[in-house]
Order: sequence, then C-alpha cells, then structure tokens
Amino acid sequence: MVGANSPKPLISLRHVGFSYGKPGASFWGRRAEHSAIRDISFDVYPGETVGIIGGNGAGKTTLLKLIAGVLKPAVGTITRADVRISMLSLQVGFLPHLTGRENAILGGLLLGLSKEQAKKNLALIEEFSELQAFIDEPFGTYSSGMKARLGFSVAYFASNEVVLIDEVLGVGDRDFRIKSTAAIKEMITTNRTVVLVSHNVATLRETANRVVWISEGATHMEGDTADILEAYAAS
Amino acid sequence: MTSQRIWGLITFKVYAELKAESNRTYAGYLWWVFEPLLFMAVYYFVFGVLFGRNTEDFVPFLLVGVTIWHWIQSSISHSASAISQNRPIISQVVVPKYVFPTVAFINNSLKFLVIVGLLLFFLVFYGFVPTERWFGLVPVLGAASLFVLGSSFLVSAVIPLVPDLKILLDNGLRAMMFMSGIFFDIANLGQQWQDLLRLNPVAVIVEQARLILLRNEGPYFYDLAYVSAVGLVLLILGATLLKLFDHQYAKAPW
Repeated sequence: MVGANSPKPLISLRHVGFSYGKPGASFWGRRAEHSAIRDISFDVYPGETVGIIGGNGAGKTTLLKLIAGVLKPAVGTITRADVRISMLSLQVGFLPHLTGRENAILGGLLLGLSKEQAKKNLALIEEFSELQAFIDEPFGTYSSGMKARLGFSVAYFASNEVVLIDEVLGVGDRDFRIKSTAAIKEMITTNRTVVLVSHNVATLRETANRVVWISEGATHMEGDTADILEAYAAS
Repeated sequence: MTSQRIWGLITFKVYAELKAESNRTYAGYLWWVFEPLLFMAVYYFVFGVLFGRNTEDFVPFLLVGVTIWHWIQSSISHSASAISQNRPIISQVVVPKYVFPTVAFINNSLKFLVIVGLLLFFLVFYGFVPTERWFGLVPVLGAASLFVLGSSFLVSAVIPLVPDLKILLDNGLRAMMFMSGIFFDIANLGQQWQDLLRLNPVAVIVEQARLILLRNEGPYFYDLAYVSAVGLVLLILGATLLKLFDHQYAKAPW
C-alpha cells in the first residue's frame, strides 16, 4: 500500500533485540534474566499507519520505547530519518501541586516543545480539554476524568511528525472518550505517520495500513491488515 | 532537543519544583527564610550562649561553614536521587539526563542565595563591617558552583545504576563534613594535616569564604583555581557518564 510505493522508510528496524535486566547487570558482566524482545524487523514509511498486534507480554510497549529512542536495542539496529518521533505519552511529569495550565507547559516542554510553542498551545489545550475554570486549579484536585482530559490534550497538541500510540485511543469519561478517539482517528487518517500498538483487532482493522504481528518477542508475520488480522484471529 | 529548549525545560522545571515544594506547606516560600533562621538560631544558642564560645567570633566562623556545607551537601544528595525521582519522565520521553541534576543544583543554589543574604545580614548585625572585599565571595561561590555541579553530575550518573553506592555516599558526605573544617579551623592543625585537608575542595571553599568575610583577606587565586579545576574535571566526567549511560536509566527496575 502506502509503504510499497514509498522508496525510503522513516524508521527501519533490523533484528532488534532488547532485554530488561538489573541496571548494573551489564556493569558487572552478568547476564540479564528476562528477554523482552528477541528479533524484530520492519519498516515504517512516511504517512502510513503501522499496527502492531500481539498478546500480553509480547513486548509491544518496549518496542515503542525502542522506536522512540527512550530505550536502546541491545542487538540489531534502528535507523530513523531526520524527523521528530514521540510516544503519545499522557500526563508526563505532571505535578499535583501545579495548576492545569502550568502542567500543560511542563508537559509540552518535556514532550519536546519550545517554551513559546508550549505557551501557544495553551489556548488549544484549554478549549479541547473543556476544563474551563479548572485549568487554573491544582492538578491534584482533578477527578481522574479531568486528569485524562488534560493529559490527552497536552500530548495531542505536542505530537510530532511520527506518533507512537500505545493502546489508548480515547481516554477519560464517555463524552471525552468519543472526542479524543475521533481526534486520534483524524490524526491517523491524515498523512501523519503512526505506529499503533494494540491487541484490539477492530481498532487495527479500522486504522492500520499494515500490521506487524509480534509473538514471543519476534516478528511473527507482517503484511496487509486484513490478512494478518485474519491469521491472528485464527491463532 | 536544542539547547534553547533544554534551557527552557530546566528553568520551568526549577520553577515548577520550587512551587510544588512550597505549596506543600502553609508558610510556603517563607520557609526559605524561616528554616535557615531557625538553624542559625540553634547554632547561635548552642555555641554562643550555652557553651559561651563567643570568643574569637566562633559563632560567625561556624555559621559561614555550616551554611556553605548545607548547600553543598543538599545539592549532592538531591542529585543522587534526581534521576530515579524522574523515572516516569525518563521512561516515556527522550530527554538529556543532565537536566535532572542541573535542576536539583539550581533549586538548592537559589535557596542558598537567600541564606547567604541572611548570613551577611547576621554578620553586619554581629558587628562585622562590610567592605568591597565581600564581593570576593562572588568568585569563591562561582568556583564552588563548578565543584558542586560537577559532583552533582557524577553522583546523579552513578547512583541510579549502582544504588548500593548511596549508602557509601551518605557516609562519605559525613566524613567530608568533618574533613572540611566546618567546626574547627584547619589552620590550627599541624602543617602536614593542613596540606592534606586542603586537597578537599570544600575545605578550601569554606576557608576562602571565612577569610573574606571574617578576616578581610583573600580570596586567593590559586585556591580558587584548584577548586575550579577539580570542579571542571568532575563536571566533564559526570557529563560523560550521563551521556554514556543515557539509555540505562530507563531500564532500571526502580
């Protein structure tokens, strides 16, 4: 589809392996005990949405962190084009004693925005989150629904050219879940490049151009959305 | 991230953490003044009144040492936990790790500046006459900052990866306090001990500050150059390790 026609991938993974271990383990030359990802290879092309499917513990979240650059592969390579890549991370660095507005700036800065851009986003965030007067109240006084609204709005307006989404499409109370789901789906269908991790077949069928099936830390199958999801459902 | 963005992040995080910290108490920012006043009062009462060691200006001598030590010690121990405290951030976004000890250093230094103001006020109240020599405190604290930031970088880089070192650090800081002449004048020791203790940059910093404020003497260039040089080495070493281990911190299970 999109990928097949585009000559150069934005992100390219080759035989990527990674394992969590005690941080000092490599320090003292000990072997790490738990292997999260063994051998994963695939490409992401500009403008497409790649779905990653796999059961619990398949290493999907770890994979996103590797693509984002938060973690570094122990073996294999990840090459990235010169684009900004970020996970759609909710409520990063939010502090309960700060107001919604202050947390929105802090969150924006952490997600890579400049201070000017983070401040400029405030109006958009205020409107989208519909927090109204609460935007100037301490974050710690928010209900979980309100926290989700703010967290989503900050991440949504800070998102980069390449967005990595882990499971969550919509968050918060019912109304906001519909609104945020629509926003994400719109982001996916525009020519933004998206890597979407999910174990929900329906979500991927609706949004992904291609699907990579991950099993036991390795690429199991990769290809057309319908084909892979059919095989996955049958497994 | 460009350096301008990183600086924007650092300054806002400094503001955010100070505000969050002050909002936890009713008196808030007033504690910046009250807390040092309290501990200064305690030292004054114990050593000035109780032990009657007012001779040779022991209380001012002590307070200069104690306030400087308080700054150095709190910056370093906050930096030790700076990265682990920000684990939720580190595990989700790519951010240069030196941001966290830098924020800890700036936070503690801002509080320290308030304390320096109080200290100078106390000295004047006590009877010392401020002279232009007191501006010599600026290069002393500048060199000291290099040392404190360097130590903070180094400690923040290593302790999250080998948490066992935290126990050594706590004891090491205590030992360093006793070897920095906070409670005694190292100039009263035998020459070979003086030479040994003056290898410790903290002892040099404290001594230079006392010379300026209490003896109307100094600061001495070579002493400051020594502190700056040690600070620079620590800073480069710490920054190198933070970069080298950059991806290790998000892996740590705690």
